[in-house]
Amino acid sequence: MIRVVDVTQHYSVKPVLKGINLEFPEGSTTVIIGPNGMGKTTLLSVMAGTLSPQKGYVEINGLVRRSTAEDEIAIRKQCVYLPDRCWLPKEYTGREFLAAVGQLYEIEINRLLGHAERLVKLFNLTEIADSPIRTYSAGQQKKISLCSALITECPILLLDEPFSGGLDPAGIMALKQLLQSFTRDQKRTVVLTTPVPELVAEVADRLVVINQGEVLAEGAITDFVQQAGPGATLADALQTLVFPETTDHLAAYLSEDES
Amino acid sequence: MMGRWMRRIWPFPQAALFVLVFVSVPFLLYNANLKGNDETQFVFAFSSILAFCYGGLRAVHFFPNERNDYGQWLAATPWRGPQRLPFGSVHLVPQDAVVPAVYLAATWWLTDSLALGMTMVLTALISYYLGIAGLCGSKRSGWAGYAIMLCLAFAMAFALTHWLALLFLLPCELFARWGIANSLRQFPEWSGQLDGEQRLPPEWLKRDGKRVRGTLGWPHSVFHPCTPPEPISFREPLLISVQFGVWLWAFIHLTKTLLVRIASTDPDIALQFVQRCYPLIFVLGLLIAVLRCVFYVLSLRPSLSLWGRLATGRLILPSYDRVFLVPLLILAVSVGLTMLGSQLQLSPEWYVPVSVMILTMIAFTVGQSMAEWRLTATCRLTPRWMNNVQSLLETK
Repeated sequence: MIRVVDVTQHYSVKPVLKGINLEFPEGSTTVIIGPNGMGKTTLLSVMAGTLSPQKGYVEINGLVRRSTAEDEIAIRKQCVYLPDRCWLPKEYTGREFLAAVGQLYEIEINRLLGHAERLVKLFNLTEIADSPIRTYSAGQQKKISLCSALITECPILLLDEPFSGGLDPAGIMALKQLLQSFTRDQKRTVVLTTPVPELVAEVADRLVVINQGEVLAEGAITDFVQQAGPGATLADALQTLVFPETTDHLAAYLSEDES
Repeated sequence: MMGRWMRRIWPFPQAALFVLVFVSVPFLLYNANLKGNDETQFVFAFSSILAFCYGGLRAVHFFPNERNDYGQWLAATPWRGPQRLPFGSVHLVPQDAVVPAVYLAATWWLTDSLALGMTMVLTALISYYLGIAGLCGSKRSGWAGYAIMLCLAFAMAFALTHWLALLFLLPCELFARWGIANSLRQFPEWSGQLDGEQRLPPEWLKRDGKRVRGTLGWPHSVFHPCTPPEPISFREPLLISVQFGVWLWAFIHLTKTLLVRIASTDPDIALQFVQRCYPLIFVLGLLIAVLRCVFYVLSLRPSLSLWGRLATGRLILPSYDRVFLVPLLILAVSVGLTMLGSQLQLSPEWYVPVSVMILTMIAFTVGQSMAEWRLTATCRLTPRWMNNVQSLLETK
C-alpha cells in the first residue's frame, strides 16, 4: 500500500502539486494520466523519493519516505523506480548491466542470471545482450532500462512513461502482458504514468487523473466507464475528463482550414 | 647469471634501460659542461622525477592486483601468501642495493659529494614506501599503511639531514614487511574471488564492486537499496587527523630548515616564514569545510532553489540546510584558533598542525554521518547531477 498524504510541491514559485492525497492499494496497477506538464512525473518522483515534497509525505507499507535511514533503505528494498530517461552505463553490456542491478537488490546469483536471460529473450535483446549499451538503438536502450527495473523483483514498481521512448510493438505487447501478470498473479503494486489514454484500459485496474497539479478524479476503471454513461468507452470518458478542450480545438482548426 | 639474479627486481629489459637512463642523467648533463646553478637544479629536478618513478614502480609492479592478469593468474594457482612470489619480490631484497650503490658511486665521483646521490636514494625510497603504504591501506593492512605514512612524515621532515631521514625509514621497512606479508596472506580474498558473498561471473569480477555500483547510471547508481557503511568510528578520524597534523608539521619543519640553509646569512627569514603560518589554519579550515560540503551535497540539491526560497520567503530548509552547520562550525573554530595562536604567540610549528588536527576531527565526527544525511534530507535528485557523479566516479 502506498499513501500520498497532503503532498504539495512547487518549482520555485510555480505550483506543480497542490495538496495531493492518494492511496494505491497493494496488488493494483494504477495509471496516472493527464496532460503534459501537469505533475504526473513530479508525483511519481515524490513517490519514488527522488524529490522531497515541500509539504506532506509519502508512506509505503507503513514506512514514511526519508524519515529515517533504516526506513528509507527498507522502502528502497521493496520499491524500484524507473524514470522516463535513464542514464545507462554505455560501456557495459546489457547482460552485465542487468546482473549488476540485480546484485544491488541481493538477488541470488543463479536466479539473477536466469532471470536476466529470460528478460533479454522476452524483449528480443538476446543478440545484443553481450554488446556494449552504447551500440543499442533508442528503443533497445529503453528495453534494457525496463529490464533493469524488472530484474529487481521488487513488489512495488514505479514506472514513468514506460511505453514511450521508441519501444517497438513487440516490446509494448510484452510489457503490457507483464504488467497484467504482475497484478493478477503476483499481487505486485504498479504505478505508471502515461499521456496515452488508449493503453490505460488494457494495463490498469485503477486510474488517477491529474491536471494543474490537482487530482481531478481517481478510482477503478469500471467506475470511470459507468460514469461516462451507457455505451461509452473508457476512451470517451477520458476524452471529456482529461482533454475536454481538444475536441473543440480540433473542430475549430478543421473548420478554419475548410473555410 | 647477474641478469637472472637482478630479474627478481627487474622483470623486463625496459627496467634496466630505465635504470641506465636514471644513472646516466648526471653524467650526460655534467659532461655537457652544464655547471651553472640553473643547470645543477635541472639535473636535480630531472633526477628526482626519475628516482620517484623508480621507487613507485618498484613498489607496485610485483604486487598481485586483482585487476591485472598477474593477479588473476596467481589467484588461480595454488600459490598462497606468505610463499615467495613467483615473478619477483614486493619487499626490498639485496638486489635493490645495486642501483643506489652504483648511483651513489657515480654521483660521488662526478661531484665529490654524496649529497645528490643520497637525495635521489631518499627520493626513491620515500616513493617506494608511499606506494607500499597505499597498497597496505587498500589491501587489508591499514594499520601498516598508517604506520608507514607516519614514519615517512618524519623522514620528510628531516630529509635534508640524510642520516636522520634514513633512520626514520628503517621502521618504514619493518612496517612494510609486516603489511605486505599480511596483505599477501589474505590474497586472494580481498580480490573478491574466494569470499562467500554473492558474486558475478568471472569476467565481471574484473570490475570492482563499489566502482561498478557508482557507474550504473541514473537512477541505480545513487538510488539503490544497499545498506550504507557503518558510521565512521572515533578511531579512524583520529588516525586521519594525526596523519594530517604530522604531515603538516613535517612540511613546515622541512620548509623552515630549507630556508635556514638557503638564507644562512639571514636566519630571520626562516623565523618570519614560521610566524606567517597562522593563516594556514584558516585556509586549511576553509578547505576542509568546503570538501565536507561537496562530499555531502554532491548530486543532492535542495528541494527549493535559491530563487524559490527568496520568492516564497522560506529562506531556510532545516532538513537540508543542517548540512551546512558543521562547515560553519569548522570555519568559526578555524578563525578562533588563528586569532588565539596570533594573540598568544604560540609556536606555529606545532600549534598549526594541532589546530588542523582539531578541525579534521570536527569534520569527521560532529553532526550527521554522510550516509544518514543523504538518506533523510529533503532534497532533489536530478539526472544531470547523477551524470556528473557518474563521470566523476568513472574517472576515479
